[in-house]
Amino acid sequence: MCRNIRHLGSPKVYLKPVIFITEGKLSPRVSAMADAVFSSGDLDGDDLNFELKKIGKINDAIMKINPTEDEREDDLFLRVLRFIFTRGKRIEPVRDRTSFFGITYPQLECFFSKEDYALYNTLEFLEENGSIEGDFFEKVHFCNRCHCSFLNFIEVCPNCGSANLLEENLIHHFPCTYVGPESDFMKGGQLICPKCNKKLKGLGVDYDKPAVIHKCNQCGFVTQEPDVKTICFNCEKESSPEDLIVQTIKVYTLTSVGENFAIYGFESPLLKALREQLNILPYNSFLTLIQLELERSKRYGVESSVVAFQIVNLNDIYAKLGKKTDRLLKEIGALIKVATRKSDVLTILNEGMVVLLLPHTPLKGANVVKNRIVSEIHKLIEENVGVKPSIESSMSEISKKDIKQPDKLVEELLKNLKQVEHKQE
Amino acid sequence: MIAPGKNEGEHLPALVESIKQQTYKNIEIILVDDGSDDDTLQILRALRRQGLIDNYFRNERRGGKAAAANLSLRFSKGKFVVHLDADTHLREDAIENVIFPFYMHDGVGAVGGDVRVKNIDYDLLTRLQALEYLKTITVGRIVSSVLRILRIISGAFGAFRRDVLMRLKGWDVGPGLDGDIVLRMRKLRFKVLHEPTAIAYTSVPTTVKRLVKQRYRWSRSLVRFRLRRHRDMLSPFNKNFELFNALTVLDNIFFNFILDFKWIVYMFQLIFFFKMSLFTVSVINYFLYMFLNILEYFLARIALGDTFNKNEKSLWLFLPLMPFYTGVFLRSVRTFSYIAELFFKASFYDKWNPWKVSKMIKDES
Ligand SMILES: [Zn+2]
Ligand SMILES: [Zn+2]
Ligand SMILES: [Zn+2]
Repeated sequence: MCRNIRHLGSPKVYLKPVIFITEGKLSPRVSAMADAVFSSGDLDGDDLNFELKKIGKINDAIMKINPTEDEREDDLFLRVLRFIFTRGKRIEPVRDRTSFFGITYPQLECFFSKEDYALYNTLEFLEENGSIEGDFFEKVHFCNRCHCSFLNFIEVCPNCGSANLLEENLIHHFPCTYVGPESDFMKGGQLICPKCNKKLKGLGVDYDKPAVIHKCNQCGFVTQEPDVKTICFNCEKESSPEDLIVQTIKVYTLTSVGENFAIYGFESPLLKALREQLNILPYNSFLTLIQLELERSKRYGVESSVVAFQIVNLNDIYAKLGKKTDRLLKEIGALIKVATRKSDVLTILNEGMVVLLLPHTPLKGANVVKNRIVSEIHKLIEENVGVKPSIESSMSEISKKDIKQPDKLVEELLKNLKQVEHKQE
Repeated sequence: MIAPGKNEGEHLPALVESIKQQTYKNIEIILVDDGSDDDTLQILRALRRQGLIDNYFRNERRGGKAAAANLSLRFSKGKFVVHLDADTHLREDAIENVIFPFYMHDGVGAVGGDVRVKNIDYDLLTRLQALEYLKTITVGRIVSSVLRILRIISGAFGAFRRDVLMRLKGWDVGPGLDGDIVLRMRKLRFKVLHEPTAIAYTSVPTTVKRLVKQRYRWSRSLVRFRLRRHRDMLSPFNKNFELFNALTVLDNIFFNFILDFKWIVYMFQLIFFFKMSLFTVSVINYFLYMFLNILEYFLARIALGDTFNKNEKSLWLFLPLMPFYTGVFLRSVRTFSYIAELFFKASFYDKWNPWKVSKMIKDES
């Protein structure tokens, strides 16, 4: 239920306070998902007042949020950020054995599909772009295959990998320097040195226990330092501790930058990354330039082209990448730069949707540029993120034959966007 | 193959490399870390992870070299145990040659390898030590071995029958652990031999201060173990008595200990009563020593054959200095430490063994 609300389109709706009315007792995780929990029976007046005040505050904060000018839905990052903004600007992790991750942010869970590790990446991304600040809470090891945090740590034989180890103290008898496992000394319930046959007096007096040894019952190997192995309780993957994912879990608070983003919306991360390297025009100026090209083609017969492409599942890719998103976007920017000329201009419509104007380029040449960009982005994402990107593209010619209005031209272009069959070379 | 040491991590990869190069391949390598406080443990872990060593042990608190060796002995598997110092370097046929005598003769309990100086060409001090090693270890031990009175096997390189070591329950505490184990083996009537073709190279001290410290340690063990602990070997009424064993101990006591004191008395006599002939006697003595040194040098050369290397061949130039080095310098150091040990039991406070062990023994004795 909660999840359904948090997935709705408008901030006014998906941020709505959620109250649980329950008969029994809820786990800390489930009760933390709601903004308030009432038990159906008796409602204490003071408690009720307190909770209502809290909900009033949440609603006040929601009112502050400017609905975005364009119609596009808020992306996941903004949803989470806006949620943090309206919930006292602070979000705390909760330990709970019913969670797949063992420790989670229950309120935020509803923004994701079931048990999605993207939750942690999203928070990392928000921290990286300065929206939130984290204070250390705990370090958690996650399975490197399924991200489950329920792992069994066991000591194993370095020789054969068996966990069937017998642990024993070593004893060092000072007067004769005999060193051996405690069992060497055990004789009829007493500790007697097998070398000098003296009865041991006392720990620290005439002997000490310098180390612990582990004897493998499988292969007989004796070691002081068994290897450590982990087994995932969920997917049974075995790995060594250093190969696990170690995530620092933090208590996050909103920064003033983050507050600004929450109220007015993000600057698109793609726009931000591309602007540093490319000549990006606001949509209106871009239309003016298309108008210009239309005129030129009418008068001088110049052939130009407009190309559009969109990475459809860019939000999923962001969630998967977390704080590494920025790097990917910068690389996309760099490869667009290489594929285009200085005289080419581009604009960004929705997140992930790029429109390019290629002056003095007939459709055939534009097709080469388009295919190059699309296939390079495809390769980049697939290799670095491990997700198959879904990229759609289309193009249109500005020529004498069919004269259109600039906005009509772009509209048609977007209507014609279709999935590119990507061929691996 | 066991090699105990403290903070010897930096030497270990080279040591392991020289073991891997051996002509004899069936070797279990066990390294023992005696309470190191540097990165030795990390080096040990890395060596095991790479499969270069079979196992390693460590005493988290320092327990002394003997305890470290005993710890690894307890969990070793082979028929023979080779004890090495971490900073030695083996010739590639060293292990093969040191094992050979066990099969050649019956009742061999231990075989000592020849220890030669690695850093001969460093300076004069290392050259003199190289000559000394040739004299005392190579020639001295070949002769003792033939005469069946060999009393020491270098901790730097020696091979032992594991079953015999297990019967003795390993090494005993103390600065003289190299010599002590040999005497205990001989009490069990096992032969102890020296094998000059099994060669380990070791780096010797390069400063006088370090050399003096090293020799203090060595000398004290004589008093402690030969005189105090193995008195029984000298008594014909003891069940352990055996003529050669008694000679072993006597030879040691006589040549090192009594002669040293006799020498002091002799020098006093010369200086105070025979002032006139001091010069003549010194010159005669010098040439006598010199002649002995030359003889021993050429004996070593003959005994060692091909293994005598370029640096060792050029050592004859320094033979004239040897009487001063062994006759005056080393003798003084030795005599001083005998006195310290006899009258003050200094070795119980020796830094070489940790405090907890030394105090115990002092209380016992
Ligand atoms: Zn095993
Ligand atoms: Zn004992
Ligand atoms: Zn798993």
